[in-house]
Amino acid sequence: MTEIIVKNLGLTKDGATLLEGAGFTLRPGQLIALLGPNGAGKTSLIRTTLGMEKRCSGTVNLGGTDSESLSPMERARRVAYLPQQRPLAWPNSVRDVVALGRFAYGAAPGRLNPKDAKAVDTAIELCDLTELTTRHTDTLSGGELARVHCARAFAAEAPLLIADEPVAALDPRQQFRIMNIIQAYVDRGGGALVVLHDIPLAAKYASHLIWMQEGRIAAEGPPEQTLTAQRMADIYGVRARIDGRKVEIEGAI
Amino acid sequence: MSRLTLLLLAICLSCCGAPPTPKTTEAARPMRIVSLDYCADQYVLKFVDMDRILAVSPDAAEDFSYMQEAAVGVPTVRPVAEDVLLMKPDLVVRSYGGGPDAAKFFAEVGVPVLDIGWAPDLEAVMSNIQRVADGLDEHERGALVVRRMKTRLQEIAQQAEGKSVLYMTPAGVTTGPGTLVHEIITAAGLRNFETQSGWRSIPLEDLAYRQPDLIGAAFFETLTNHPDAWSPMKHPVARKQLSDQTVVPLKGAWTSCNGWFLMDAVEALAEGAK
Amino acid sequence: MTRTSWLIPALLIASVLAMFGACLLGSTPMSPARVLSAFLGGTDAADRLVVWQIRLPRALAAYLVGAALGISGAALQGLLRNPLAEPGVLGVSASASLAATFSLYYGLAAVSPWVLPMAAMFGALAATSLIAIAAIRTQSVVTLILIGVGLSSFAGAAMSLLMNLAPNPFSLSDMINWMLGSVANRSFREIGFSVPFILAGAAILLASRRGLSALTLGEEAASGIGLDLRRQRILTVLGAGLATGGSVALGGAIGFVGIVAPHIIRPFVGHDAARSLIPSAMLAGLILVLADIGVRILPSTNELKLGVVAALIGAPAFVWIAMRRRAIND
Repeated sequence: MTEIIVKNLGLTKDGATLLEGAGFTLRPGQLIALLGPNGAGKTSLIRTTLGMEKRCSGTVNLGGTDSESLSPMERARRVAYLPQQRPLAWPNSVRDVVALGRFAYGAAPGRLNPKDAKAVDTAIELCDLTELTTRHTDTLSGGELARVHCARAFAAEAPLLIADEPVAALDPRQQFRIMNIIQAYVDRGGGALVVLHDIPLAAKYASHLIWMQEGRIAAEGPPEQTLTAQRMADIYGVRARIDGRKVEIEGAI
Repeated sequence: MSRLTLLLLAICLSCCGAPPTPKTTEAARPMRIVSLDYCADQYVLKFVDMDRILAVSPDAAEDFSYMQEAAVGVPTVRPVAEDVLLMKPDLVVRSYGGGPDAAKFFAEVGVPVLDIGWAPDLEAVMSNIQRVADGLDEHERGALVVRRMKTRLQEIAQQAEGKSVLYMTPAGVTTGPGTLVHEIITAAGLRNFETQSGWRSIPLEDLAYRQPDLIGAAFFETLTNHPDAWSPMKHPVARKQLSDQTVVPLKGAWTSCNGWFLMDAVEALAEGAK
Repeated sequence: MTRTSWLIPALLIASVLAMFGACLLGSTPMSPARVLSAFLGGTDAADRLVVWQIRLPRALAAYLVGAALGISGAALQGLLRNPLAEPGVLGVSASASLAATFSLYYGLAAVSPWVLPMAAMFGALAATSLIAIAAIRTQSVVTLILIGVGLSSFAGAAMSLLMNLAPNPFSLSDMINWMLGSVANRSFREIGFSVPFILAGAAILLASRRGLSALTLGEEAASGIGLDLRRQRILTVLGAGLATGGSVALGGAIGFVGIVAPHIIRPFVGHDAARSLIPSAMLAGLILVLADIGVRILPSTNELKLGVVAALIGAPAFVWIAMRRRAIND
């Protein structure tokens, strides 16, 4: 079973401690929301877990291997990664961008074997992009682009998904659509770690929450256990009313 | 570009027409003669005794100067107006030295200027020689040189065989009708392989169809290894077609100015054609 | 896609026709029938010599120089994610020229005929490496182009200085040929010494072209889908440097054609950098053969330099592309 086990992760850069003693586990069937204010170290945690940033201490076990000893292709086959910045340098067609998800299997946008083609078609269907396959990406709206990136991630058919703010700058309807897609992925047997700023959204979808603050993991566990008004005040500095999984943010403290 | 090629081009571009000879009064024989450039140097060193030469140009003693040996020990001056005037010459001899306005400038200051002038053919060369010799007040010496030239030219003309010669420089430049080099070739009793007038690259394609009997290789001794990467001379066709031909080396000194030394080129070509 | 399936055959036919057209030009007037017969083994030995040894090498040299620049330009644009990247603009051609002239005028090239193309290659690699390192530190392509401008200016100035100090004398026309480009008087000999580098560079670029597609997602996501960024940068820089070095050794520094060709090709290949490599090479070769025809047809006393014609076409295209991009980014 592919899972990510992070223990005691530490990262220091230019004298600043970005991560300290961070640890978590991601397993298939989990939808983990990574929460925390800006600068808490969420992106650093993700990047160091994936081995894109060289860690200073701790261990990361990615599907049975140390993440830093994995080649980029091996890593891509185990974890699909949706980074925070999602530029598209050229106005490729939607299908070609989704096809890039099969890169780790030796595929190229113009050269897809039947297996790759099937994975691409499935991903396009899952993300409601069937009408848009021949459109060029410079003609799409923000919501449509977000779904394209999701499809690209799913085309890889990796057991795990890590998404850094996949719903940023999207209107509520698009936000729910993306989270529904990710939920469906988890229901099919995948494991997802998603960075979110929208606490109500996180509370609604996540099976686990990880709260980060100043490079450390302040708390982790199911929303029922970790989502409290006190926690909201400590981590975000806001007044909130919690009712089970419902969150209402009233104002800054 | 080699300095000599530059000089040769400068001569071709220099002012045309027969320039006026400064009048020398019966008593005023020029005693303080300055020559401003390499071509004028040759004439001054040939016709004038040491005691009348004030200065020649710095190029007179260079390897490519025909009168190189005669220039040893002669003071030199760069063709800069101030330097020349400070020497107080009574005659300035030039062909291109000092720039295009030099004649006018020296005239204003009252110093007579003797211009070598341009010559389109050997006849004009010979009359130039006489005119310059007269201007230097050495009529007899000039006449002697011209006589010798005429005799040698007539002898060569009788032996003419009509072979063809391709004149070329290391850069692969040749010349057709309308230039002094062409006249030299004709005077040697030969045909110019290049039929298009003016200076141009050697005709690479023509060489595939016909080859010259002779090659006149000019300026090759001054440049040991001219690395022109786009020269037609490096092309395999040129190398193949020209490798079997007789090569007549032509010293740069013979063809870079108009003067009696052109005869050396004519003679070398005629000799090579035998 | 039906669009791409006819692209390469069409370019191939056009290239062959253009090269045949180039072989019709020369100082000896020859009818097309005569040229054709010389190609097909006609009886006139002199005709065959002229066509095979003089005209064909020139046309072929123009095509190879163009193709090398086209494929390098397309690859660099894929790597740097910008349509303005190209060996000429980024100072790679000028650096290669500088190294080549240095080896030539300081006697190093006399050691072996391989020294000249290798020197050009080293000059090109030095420049491409510099650009690649700079590209890691800055996201702005304007900065990269400015670095390229600086490199070109420096290389040009250094070339003038070196040639004036050189122990072997040079001709002014030779220096102009190096800086502005020319394929005059090229024979199979020069082609033979440059082609290995051009082919090696092209082979490396083609072998690593898959990664160029991935880079459209940005470096972070590309790494996420399995691209080894460092390896991709090294291979693209190496390939572009080799191909550009070979092309400069053959025909001097020619710019802008590596921008125009990929730009025209991209819409036909779905804007995929990987699929643009071969068609860009073919189109750029075609453009340069046509430019070389233009050089010989245009009535002027001195033959125009190839790089001048290429710049006349390419520089306005460069400006136009730059202005359009600003409009989009605003």
